[in-house]
Amino acid sequence: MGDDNVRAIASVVRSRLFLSALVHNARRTAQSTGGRMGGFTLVEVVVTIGVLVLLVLFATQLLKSAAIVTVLGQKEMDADSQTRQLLDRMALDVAQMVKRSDVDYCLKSSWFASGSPPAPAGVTGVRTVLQPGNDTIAFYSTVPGYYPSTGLQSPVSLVAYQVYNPSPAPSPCPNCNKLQRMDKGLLWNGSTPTSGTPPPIVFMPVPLASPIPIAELPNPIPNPTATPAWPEIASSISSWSDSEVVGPQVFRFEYYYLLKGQTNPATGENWSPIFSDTPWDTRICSCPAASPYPTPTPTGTPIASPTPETECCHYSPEGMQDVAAVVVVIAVIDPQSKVLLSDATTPPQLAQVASQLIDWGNTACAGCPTQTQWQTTPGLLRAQWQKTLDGITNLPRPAMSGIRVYERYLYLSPPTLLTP
Amino acid sequence: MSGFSLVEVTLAFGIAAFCLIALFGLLPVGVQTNRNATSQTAATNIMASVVADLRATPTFNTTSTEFALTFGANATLYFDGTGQFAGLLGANSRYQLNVTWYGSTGLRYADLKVTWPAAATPANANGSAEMFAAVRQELKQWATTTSGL
Repeated sequence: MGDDNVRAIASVVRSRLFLSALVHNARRTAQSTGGRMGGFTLVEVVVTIGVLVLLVLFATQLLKSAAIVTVLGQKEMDADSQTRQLLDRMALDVAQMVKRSDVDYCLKSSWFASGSPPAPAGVTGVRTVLQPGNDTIAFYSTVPGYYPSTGLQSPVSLVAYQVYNPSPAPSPCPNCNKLQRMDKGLLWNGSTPTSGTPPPIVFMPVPLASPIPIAELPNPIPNPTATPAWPEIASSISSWSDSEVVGPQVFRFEYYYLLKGQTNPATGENWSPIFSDTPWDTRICSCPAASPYPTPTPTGTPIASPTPETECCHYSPEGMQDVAAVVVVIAVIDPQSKVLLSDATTPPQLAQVASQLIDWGNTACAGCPTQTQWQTTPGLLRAQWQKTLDGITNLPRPAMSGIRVYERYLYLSPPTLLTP
Repeated sequence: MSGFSLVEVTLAFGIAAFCLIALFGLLPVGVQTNRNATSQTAATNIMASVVADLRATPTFNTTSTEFALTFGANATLYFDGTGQFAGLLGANSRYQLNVTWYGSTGLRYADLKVTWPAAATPANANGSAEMFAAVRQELKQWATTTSGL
């Protein structure tokens, strides 16, 4: 190491000496031949400066393109790393979801973003939660949360996600158009939702956020019907308590379900897995009224007394037993692109973009997929959003190209706590 | 009152240019490093979504829903900068994903390796990220629905 250094210094010194000798010679030659005293001619200076300008121009171009590449990479990485954190968090929450048929869920349940899911014959009042635009999801999950300062903490929390976009929006609104996550740690206490103390995990027939329709309520129907334990979740105005902004760059949040598919217990006909915006398989409700057939059980042993036809159908999540995965699609804008969009317009430009990104299952817009396409084609919503973003021309292009769309399948483990 | 001669100035420029070339030589290195970091982040996202897709595959299917990966069959997929995938190498492809399966039935192991650039074979790639995942297709669950009726 030392030797190397000495050698390097020696070579530098040698080259310096060589250079100074060269310069000295050159100067002497100039003086002896021309005898000219100092200064450059105009031509010399012009040529030199011309060359210099060319060099600087070239260097600037190089630096400029390098900066563009770096900034693009930075924006991409910004969005990517935020998404990774967020989707990992969501995946954990969904995987730990409490899947019981005696607890309520606050989920989208609609029929192609337009109406009530089909109910079996003789059943009315199936829950319809349309959720046009940004979606909200809320469920119990065995993850830690923000607990009240006193009381016995249970392992169960109430987890919810939404893009905060109140109407009318307060001004200023630092949390508007950002993804919020509620993580309410629940206590072991016997209080009721209306008693003033924080409610624990509540079971049917107490709804989570929106009233439970009659068809889902146990028989006999409780009178009066219980009020939701956490109405703030369904409210479009209030900011959530016990929540944080988990995705400040996420401005559009949409989800749908991947259904497991079923075998018709009566005929053996297969209903293949499909995508849906109803968190239960509505096809199972088309069970034909066959002559007595054995009820499939986890062990496969037929039950002597057959199940009546209506019981082969269900019209509520029932512990999410039909759902294999919740598919989440989000649109993310990195901070550098976000500042290019104005908040001063009504609605803010970011909200305008969000409103142009269609709901899953929308068949009404121009060029929208058909119902069958929605049900069977993976990645369709994401492709639709990308197409829309590419087509937006009235907003700054650099901002639009900074928007990235992600899709992730959030796996639900099989229900283990199904109650009879 | 003697200035520099043209030869001196040219020489000086020569030296300056030499130093500048060395400096500019660092620029591609910086850009490459930046690109590699971006690719690493993108690769982890790709692998996470592939694992999520494999885990979420319903029992009824032998192939995964999103990426159409068949359980037990090795496959190669190509991804572009936005995360869209294709089975064949295209003009926009940036990453190559190779899925190698181990194990037979029940619990299987998938070795996911993302390499870039997409056109290079994994052995000649500029960079790579690899992940080993245990995947079990969900067991068929039959549940009777008798509550609330």
